[in-house]
Amino acid sequence: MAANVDARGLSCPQPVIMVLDEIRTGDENEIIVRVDTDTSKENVIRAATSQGCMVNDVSSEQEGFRITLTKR
Amino acid sequence: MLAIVGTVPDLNFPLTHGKLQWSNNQLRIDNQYIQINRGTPALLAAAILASESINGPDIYAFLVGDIGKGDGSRALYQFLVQNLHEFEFQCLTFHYLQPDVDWHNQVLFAIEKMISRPILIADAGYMYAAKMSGQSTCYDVFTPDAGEMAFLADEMAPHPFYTRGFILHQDQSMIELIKRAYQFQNASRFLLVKGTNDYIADANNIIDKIDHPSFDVMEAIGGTGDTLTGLLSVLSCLDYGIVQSSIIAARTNRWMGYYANPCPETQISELIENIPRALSTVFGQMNIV
Amino acid sequence: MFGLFKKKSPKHIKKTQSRQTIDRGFLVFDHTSDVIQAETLLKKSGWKVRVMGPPPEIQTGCDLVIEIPLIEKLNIMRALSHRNIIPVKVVPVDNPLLEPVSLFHTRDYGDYLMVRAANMKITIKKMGFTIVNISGGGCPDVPYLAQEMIGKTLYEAPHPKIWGHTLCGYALALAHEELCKQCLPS
Repeated sequence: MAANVDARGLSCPQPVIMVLDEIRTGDENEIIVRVDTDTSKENVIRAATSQGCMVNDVSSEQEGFRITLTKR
Repeated sequence: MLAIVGTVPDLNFPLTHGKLQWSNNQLRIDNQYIQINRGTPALLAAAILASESINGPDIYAFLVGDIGKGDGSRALYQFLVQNLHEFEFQCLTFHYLQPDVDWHNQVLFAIEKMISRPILIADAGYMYAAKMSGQSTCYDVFTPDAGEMAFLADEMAPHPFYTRGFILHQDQSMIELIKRAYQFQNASRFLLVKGTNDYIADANNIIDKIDHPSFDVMEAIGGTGDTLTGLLSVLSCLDYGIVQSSIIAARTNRWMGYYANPCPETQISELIENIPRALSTVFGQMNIV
Repeated sequence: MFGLFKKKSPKHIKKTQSRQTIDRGFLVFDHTSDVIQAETLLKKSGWKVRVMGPPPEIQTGCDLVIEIPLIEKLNIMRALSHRNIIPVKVVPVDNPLLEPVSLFHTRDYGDYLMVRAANMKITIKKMGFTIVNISGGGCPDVPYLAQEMIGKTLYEAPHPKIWGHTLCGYALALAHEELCKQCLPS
């Protein structure tokens, strides 16, 4: 069961803050993040990687991007 | 030499670094001209005018165009991480950059590899990143405004917008905010807090308060905080020490405003041209040769 | 004849007051990000909502609430839950102590007006509503927005919510909207 972080419509640094919160305090190992800009996508991927997460998939969606992460 | 790191609000401005020059009332690095307006350009203009009038340090700038998407900032961060170790500066000031904790931490590591450790000053977005990363104590001076001081004091806030109470204009004693920022280790070695009163503080006490000359209109004018940080950066390279540099900078910034006789629509470029006169006034008042 | 001037009974007055005040409510959220997402969603869907501060009576949630027309509560809640944005509570404004507070601080400089929202300030010249200065913030979109907005009227200036990229830009957008509300005909 994956945790969902919907950061669409949010400005820097909110997407990163939400993802980091989920990485640190969430129970699920897999996290699905949704963002709607390239910038947020890049920021989230780097932030997650810096916390030791693996980026399993990045795909385009109608309203932006879907990023699948796994905590190590 | 003083180094300034920041951004220019122009997507087409390439990553540029070099000695800052001032000629015909224009700022430039080699062939790149920089329009003077609020943000890092205001800091640079204040710094170079101040430095030229008091025989201060040369100024080296690392700049890139960024309009808020962060691409420019990230390119500049990367450049610094890869190249900072080749430089030697007395003082290194970080200014308008997209807050990025990961890049900030890498830049701090790069600073450790420099030939000698410069005085580190942080303001604006980079200061947000320093606080968010938990590394505030690595810096010699932060120059927050009142709102940013509330952000530093709120140990939970990752960005000034999240600061509890501040968004609702709840009046908080500046002294209490400063105390709290130090209590939770979210303050640099010294603080120069910009506002109706300017405060200079360290972990033990409020060292000084500067409140004169004072006029409300300064609050409306964008860039008056940037010029203060520019003045402090130049003075920190000289022999005054950080505390006296902060006092001189705060007083000079106010006299700069006074001599400009501003109204709410005055632009920062009009204030900056009064810096040499303001410095002269303050040096005279403080009996500094 | 004297019946015409009969005093209204306190019961009647109370009923009138509660009928008048209970048309608004506000949504309380745990996180600022929920507020911003909810605001975007609800405005896009055509509801007239606004972001405000919670009244001192409300101790839960973050520093922002969304004021809503209470009659739309069910539809609004449905739209939000569709996007998995769940308020902590919905509070009807049925007494003065539950009035949400303004986020804005206005300063009148005579010929000029300045509005502050969070860390961002925007100043206009009253004659002509020209934006003359923007101050505050630390993210790179602020000098850019200032460059694009200063010298333009409130009508002409690009909207910071569209052109900004950061929370500083969002705060500037709030201040800009408040100025428009104060100065321009609705």
